[in-house]
Amino acid sequence: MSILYDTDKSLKERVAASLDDDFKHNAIKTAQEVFYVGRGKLVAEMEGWEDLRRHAVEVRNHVTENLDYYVKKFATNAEANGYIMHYAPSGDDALWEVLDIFEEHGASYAVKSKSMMTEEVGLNEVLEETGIKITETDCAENILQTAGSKPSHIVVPALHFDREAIADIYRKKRGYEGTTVPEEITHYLRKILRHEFMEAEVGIRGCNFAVAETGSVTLVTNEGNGRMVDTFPKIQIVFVGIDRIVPDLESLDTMMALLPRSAVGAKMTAYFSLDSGPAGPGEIDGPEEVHIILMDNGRHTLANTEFEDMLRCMRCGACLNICPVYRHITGHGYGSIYPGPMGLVLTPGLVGYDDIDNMVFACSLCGACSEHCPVGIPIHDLIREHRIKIVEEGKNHAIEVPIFKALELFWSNVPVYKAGMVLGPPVMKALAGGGDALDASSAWIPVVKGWTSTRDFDVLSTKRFTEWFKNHEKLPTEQPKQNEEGGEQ
Amino acid sequence: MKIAFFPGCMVDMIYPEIGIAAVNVLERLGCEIEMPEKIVCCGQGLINSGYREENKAAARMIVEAYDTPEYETIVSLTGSCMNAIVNDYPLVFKDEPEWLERAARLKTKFFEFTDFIVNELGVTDVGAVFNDTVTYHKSCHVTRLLGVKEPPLKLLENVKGLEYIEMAHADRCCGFGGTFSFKQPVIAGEVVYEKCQTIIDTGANVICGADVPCLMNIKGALGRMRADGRLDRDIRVMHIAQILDSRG
Amino acid sequence: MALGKKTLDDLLNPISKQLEHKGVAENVELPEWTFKAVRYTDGLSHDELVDMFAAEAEKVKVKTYRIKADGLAACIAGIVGAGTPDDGEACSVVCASDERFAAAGLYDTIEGEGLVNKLTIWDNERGQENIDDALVATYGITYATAGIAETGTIVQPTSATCGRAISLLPLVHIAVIDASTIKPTMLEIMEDIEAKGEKLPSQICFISGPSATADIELVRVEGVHGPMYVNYVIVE
Repeated sequence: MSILYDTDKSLKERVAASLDDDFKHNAIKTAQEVFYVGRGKLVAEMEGWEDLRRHAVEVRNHVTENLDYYVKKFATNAEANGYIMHYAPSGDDALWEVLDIFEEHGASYAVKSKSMMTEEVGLNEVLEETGIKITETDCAENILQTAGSKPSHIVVPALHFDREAIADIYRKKRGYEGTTVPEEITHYLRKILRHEFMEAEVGIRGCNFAVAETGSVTLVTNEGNGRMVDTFPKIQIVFVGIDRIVPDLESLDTMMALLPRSAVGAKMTAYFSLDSGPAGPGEIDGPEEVHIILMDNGRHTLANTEFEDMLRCMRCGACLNICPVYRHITGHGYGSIYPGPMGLVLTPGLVGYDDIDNMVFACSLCGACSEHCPVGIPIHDLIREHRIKIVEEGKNHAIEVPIFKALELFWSNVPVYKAGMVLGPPVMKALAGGGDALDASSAWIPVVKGWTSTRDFDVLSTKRFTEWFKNHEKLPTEQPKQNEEGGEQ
Repeated sequence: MKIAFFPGCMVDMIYPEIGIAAVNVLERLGCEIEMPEKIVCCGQGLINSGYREENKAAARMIVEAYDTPEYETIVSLTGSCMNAIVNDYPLVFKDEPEWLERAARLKTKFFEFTDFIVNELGVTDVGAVFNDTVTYHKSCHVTRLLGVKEPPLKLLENVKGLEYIEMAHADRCCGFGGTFSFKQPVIAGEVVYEKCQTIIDTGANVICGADVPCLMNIKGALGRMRADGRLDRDIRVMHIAQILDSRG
Repeated sequence: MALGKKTLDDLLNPISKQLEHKGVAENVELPEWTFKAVRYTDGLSHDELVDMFAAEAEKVKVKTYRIKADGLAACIAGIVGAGTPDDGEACSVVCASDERFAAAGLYDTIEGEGLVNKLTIWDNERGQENIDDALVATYGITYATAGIAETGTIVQPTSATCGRAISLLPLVHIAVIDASTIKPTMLEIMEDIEAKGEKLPSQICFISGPSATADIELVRVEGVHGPMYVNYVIVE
């Protein structure tokens, strides 16, 4: 998989498919509520939350402004820790480096802990094509891999399957014989995957934050699969995005105070590991050889542009958990591994506008994402900024241009507006069959039919407010009651 | 107090009764209201669809009409349009310093209708009487983007006879989003139906708000739900100004 | 088709160019930060921090024991002596090699009283056998270096005498922690590490409760790839 998937379907088709799947979009709604309520409680009890956010913003911005310096500093210090560095300006560079590592060791079996960066470059497919076995070890990712499905949520990616479906997948593909109880299925996964962790030659993982000062990489998990990947395979490959870097351990603490709270409504995850090199002298477990793939893949093009705030993103998913659109169309509606509000900014930022269909218009600009973003990204403003860029670059649909040009004229020209307001109301009244609103039967009228496919549309009034205002008689003043704080009058 | 009034084009085109109610309320509170002649629309549908350049003509017209020394206080009846003027015009005019400066000046003079009554006039009881159950949609532009949270609730609290019932997720978007409604009607429909369900679940007979476009969207969806049987009673959709204008 | 191996400069040059930097700066000082967050541990006494640590740990499904130093061996013997949590069968134990455990008489108590089938004390001379023992052990016992009150977290570095497997493979992880090492938040831990300025261990793991997932229908299940149960023994 690369960033975009299901590109043979239009946004409209993907949305329709998501809406048809009641279980799927109800599961996402429930997840939203669970995470959102959890987050809300923790934030409310934390007096310093806003200052923490502001501090995170200043830290992340400082890194972005000096990104070349911090990339170099991290790389230098990581190398000093004994990490073997590989530099990947592009996703293809990253793939070649990984293939080289496998080839060099003659390795053919890997376990992986969930990593968006590897999804971004389509690592699994490439490895499998060359005959390398790669097992996803996060429960949800393993379910998706076994089922051949795609993530519907970035934190809990397999929510679109119910317990029956999941049990069935393992019965058919792995010979599972247990019940559909989540606990039993999970413990079955514990058993079968434990064996794989011990057998695999290579462990592949991501990195939530990389620390420039200490050359460290970190991993935030709950299940412990990240720790298993980080402990038993003798060779390890760590994918690090150039936008994961924090200056030092203090700023790492700031990010970690924000991340689990924002992501899943918890103060901390079960495991947070800070790794600073391969296994040390005398250590029996832990990797003997660790390769860091430091990857850009288009991220730097966001720096020093309208979109640079997006480089602060820490992939917590808080914006997904509040988005009124995401809750209905789910991750699958967007057709990007980065869905929801953050995805609408990041996806076109990384892949451009040619192949994204109407994706950036799947947003009402309600601003809930921006309000909840722990690192203060004005997400909805950036989504609109993409729309502006699309028009500026002439990548909008030719068919809509005359409509907007007409609106430009109508909304800025009093005589045209007045003429329209003379002609419009009776025409609409007639279209509404003499009623006050256009109902479902008006589906044949261009432009308006979009609206009337799902809602009635009130007809234009024959009486105009501005006309009334000119002629109305002013009401006398009444003595109002003052509120207690008073105020000027 | 002398004020300039900004109704928003939907009030002029579709819902004059909302504008009339607001003028009544403000005049009873002693406001001398003026309104410029040459206004049409803030044009936010253009920039929100990516047509920044095309938004300039409408924006210039609004700035020209309201940025005059005579107007020291401008009251907006619609949160969404006001948000466009105070928060989006800087982006519309980002390459035109002169207009940018005028837009910035305008920003300091603009007040949302309920915010103006409560925080500028210092009034929380306008003497309204409204004998019914009411729920309030905390629209995105008024609540989140303009930060007007308390004033509408304070005003409703002091309306005699009014029983307020809070809906679940009152500050969740109704799915209007301007051209989003037309470009993505299926998604917008899902969002507004869910909003309507939370309204229906309160059992209130009236849904009110301070943002005209949301009310149009909610009214359109409730109408459709009533027609196809998903709703089995009438729920009135009103602007908060109409409730504050009511005398029982 | 080989693209040719990329160098650090290949990665850095486009970034510098995008930032309109002439080249990568020799040194960039951290600015004076404008914002510092109030943490809700601010102003608490150490005793209150220890209480908070225990309370937060319980919230994340950790069973806590608060004991005096001389009660360490007895406390742990009591836990492991009860056998496996589900059926009480006698089981085996893998334990970090730590002078403090020896001094407290822990090894002698467990072995001497024949409480368990097997006690493995981590010994790097024995290589893979340690891991094989950890795979079948019911209990893994470690000595944490610090605790975090805000989140009920223990700080567990890896070393030659305390492998990663001990706190990862067994069904139950027992972490011993000195109350005096409990800090308000992760920030103090990070500051301590930076103040020491030593080379960091290959891994410091911050552990907050049993391994868990909610991947199937959001139902919380404990005991995924790591321990199903975690106990903290807080030595006051």
